[in-house]
Amino acid sequence: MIDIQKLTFSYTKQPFIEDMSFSVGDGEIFGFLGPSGAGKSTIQKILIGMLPRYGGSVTVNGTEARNAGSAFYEQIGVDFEYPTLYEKLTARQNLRFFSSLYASKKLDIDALLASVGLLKDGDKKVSDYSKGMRSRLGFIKALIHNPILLFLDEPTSGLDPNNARIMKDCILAQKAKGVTVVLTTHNMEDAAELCDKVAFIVDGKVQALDQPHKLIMQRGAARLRYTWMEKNREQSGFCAMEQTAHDEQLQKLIAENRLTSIHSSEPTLGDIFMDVTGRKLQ
Amino acid sequence: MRTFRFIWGEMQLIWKYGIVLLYIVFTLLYLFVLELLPQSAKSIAAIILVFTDPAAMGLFFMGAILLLEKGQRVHWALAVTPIKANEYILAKIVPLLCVALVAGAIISIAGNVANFSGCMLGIGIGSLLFSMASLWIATKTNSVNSFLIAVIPVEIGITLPALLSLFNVLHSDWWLIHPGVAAIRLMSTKSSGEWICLFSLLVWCAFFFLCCLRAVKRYFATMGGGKE
Repeated sequence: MIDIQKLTFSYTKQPFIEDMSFSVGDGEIFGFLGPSGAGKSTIQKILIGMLPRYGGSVTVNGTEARNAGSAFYEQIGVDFEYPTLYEKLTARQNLRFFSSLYASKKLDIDALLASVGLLKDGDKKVSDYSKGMRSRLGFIKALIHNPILLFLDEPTSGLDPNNARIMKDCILAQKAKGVTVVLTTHNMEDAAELCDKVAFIVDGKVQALDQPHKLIMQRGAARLRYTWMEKNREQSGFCAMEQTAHDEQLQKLIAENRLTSIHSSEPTLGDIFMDVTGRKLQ
Repeated sequence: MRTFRFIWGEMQLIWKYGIVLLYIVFTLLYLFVLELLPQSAKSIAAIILVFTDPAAMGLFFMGAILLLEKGQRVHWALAVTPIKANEYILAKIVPLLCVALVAGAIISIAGNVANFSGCMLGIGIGSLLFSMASLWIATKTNSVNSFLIAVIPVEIGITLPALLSLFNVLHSDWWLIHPGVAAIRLMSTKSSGEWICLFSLLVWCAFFFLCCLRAVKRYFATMGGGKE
């Protein structure tokens, strides 16, 4: 669906994105992870045809991004991090307005509103909507023309756990339909749960690219944390999973039946990001 | 078809923004003012009224609409739809043109202007010019203050020579190069100069349209976050 070869781009004379190459397969959820200013939004803008002065090749659904025209935009949906809605219009009027700009077959407005729990608020003005409601409406606005490629920028940002769950289920439903999703996020839990592949972007470069589970398994071994009581105080110890049989302390505690707890813990995608890039996501 | 649907959507928006209602009130107010004037002054008063308000309404309202929509970030969403910059410009200027023509026609009829068709042409092309000038400025400004600072000299620069020409202070035909003078002469006279006025205004329209096209393309390229 997306093929980037030797991409270079800069806003100034200083190099920013240099020699970047990767591809995104059909029906994949692909995540861009990185701190603010890393180049995630710039890459997204290049992919959606808004920054045509790049070097190299960026092919999106068979179209070179710098040549993006009306037909290109019929096939992509973009949900930005911030609401992009007419406040004076109701949710239904907003969806009707934006759907009128597309020639392709539109999805049913009521079904879309119902899918994100906004059906009963469809005739409310957007100015009366909460942040979570605006995010959900913005998301279905990106779906109204039934795109085959979806760009989502921080889709769960600022949402309560319940609304974040609704949003994540909607994204997974799009994947189940065969839609390719490009996700830009700071949220490592979302990325680990949703993405088939993630790319760590730092200073305009791809520092790592793989399946989240593979990245976790490659970089960090799972550990065991165990606790026991000694002199009326709780003590704790750690050992690598593959060293369990050789950890004398642990063997002794098991033999004496003195363990009070034992847990396995894998590194998170956030830990891997810090490990790979030496940077923390903020 | 998409352009027509977009224009229709923008028409609904200016209704929602209250601009249509405002112009119903203004038109009634102008009719009342014309009613108070003696018959001999009605025609020239009607021309001044339609030139400085319905025709020029776009100068302030276009900027106000754009700044409001900038605040709501709707241009981010529009920049990733199939619409093109020229369609966007048309969708923005046509609804205000319609309001200007309807309000202008009612005031012109009430003022019994001598050259109704010329007056309507002047209002129409004047509205397009003022709206495009405003659109051009508004894409480059981010606050009401900076917009007003930029737009007031434009308004003075267009309307002052036009009014001076209407009262024969400026009578050289060279002034027909000026868009305001060309518009008001088209509205107020019925002579062979009409074609020169029309040509001058169409050249200005083409110039402002090209400026807007370039400005809107550049403006849309800044949408979507990241470095602008």
